Amino acid sequence: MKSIMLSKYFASGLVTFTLGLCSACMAADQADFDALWNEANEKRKAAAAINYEWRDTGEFLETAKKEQAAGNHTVALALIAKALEQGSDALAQAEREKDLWQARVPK
Amino acid sequence: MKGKIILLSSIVLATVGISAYAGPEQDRVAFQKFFHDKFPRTPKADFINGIYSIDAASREQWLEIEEFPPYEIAIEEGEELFNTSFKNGKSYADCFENDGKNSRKNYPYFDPKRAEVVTLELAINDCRVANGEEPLKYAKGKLAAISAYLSFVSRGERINVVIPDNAGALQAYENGKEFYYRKRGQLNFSCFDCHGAASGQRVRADRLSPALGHVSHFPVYRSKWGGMGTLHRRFKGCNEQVRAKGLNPQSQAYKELEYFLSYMSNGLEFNGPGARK
Repeated sequence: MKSIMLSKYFASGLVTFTLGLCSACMAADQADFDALWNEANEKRKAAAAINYEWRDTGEFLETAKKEQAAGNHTVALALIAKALEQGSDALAQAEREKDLWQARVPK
Repeated sequence: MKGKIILLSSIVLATVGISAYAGPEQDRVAFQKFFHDKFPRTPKADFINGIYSIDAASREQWLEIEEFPPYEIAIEEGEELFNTSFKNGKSYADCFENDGKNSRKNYPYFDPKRAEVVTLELAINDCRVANGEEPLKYAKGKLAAISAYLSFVSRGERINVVIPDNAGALQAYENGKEFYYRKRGQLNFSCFDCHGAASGQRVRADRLSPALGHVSHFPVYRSKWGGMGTLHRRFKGCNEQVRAKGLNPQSQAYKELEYFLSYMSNGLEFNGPGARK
């Protein structure tokens, strides 16, 4: 009888611990997501401010939000990674083109 | 002595650099020559027909389409809208001289007071707002119909964009020029890559049209759209085809792009509205 009681306490403690751990994990996932999402969105906005945003970057970010809300953290992070890359590439393209465009003008 | 030579060389180079660019007119001459050289069999005045000026097979199909032009309905709708009075009793005729006839040639222009490029579509909405009406959407619909009507009654007029002696106007022109030649989007193309350097080449089943004369035939009925669209609708579509985020019709960048591109086609006739695939 005593061992059954102990097992119950143990099981209950384990469930509480696991839930707590999951909740901590989810909070960490959300914090990671928010930080990366904001970083990617800032790059997108910087590119947009100079008319250099790429077509799909905004859509990647919106879809990432939906995937995160649905619990698909890995998919959401993969989408943010694509958006981040596109934002960086767009800004680099704008910088590169500052001088290069003039070589295309017919003389 | 060495220092003097370097200084002299710098002055000479700077002088050559300045005199090498004489401004928009020099750009226009070089731009038109580029296309005349690239398509020597196309009569100069025929560039207003876009891709149909350089692709005989497409031209045959287009001429058949022109027998019952799909933009005719838009012209009729535009005429009706143009002649319908606003709530205050005035109409578009109060904004566009000569009942709108031949008015297409007056656009785009740079307005120094507003410090911006004014396009035909912007002028249509300005007219509405000045008379207490809501502005229309810029890409298609009623505004494209009114633009189609005004273009139709201006056919045969020549494109004659003037860049006034004004720093703002020249800056607007330069901005439009820079936008035109800069690569953008995930596919890393400039407008000129497709419609200049690669014009005449195939993209899948279609040939790329030459930029010279591009502005002459808008708005157009486009089969892909199943309806009419303005020049800025096409700008946006082009940008998105190279996977750049398209800008809003009548945004500053697109107005300045139209200003530059129209100047490049100076001397050609307006023949809008048009029909395209």
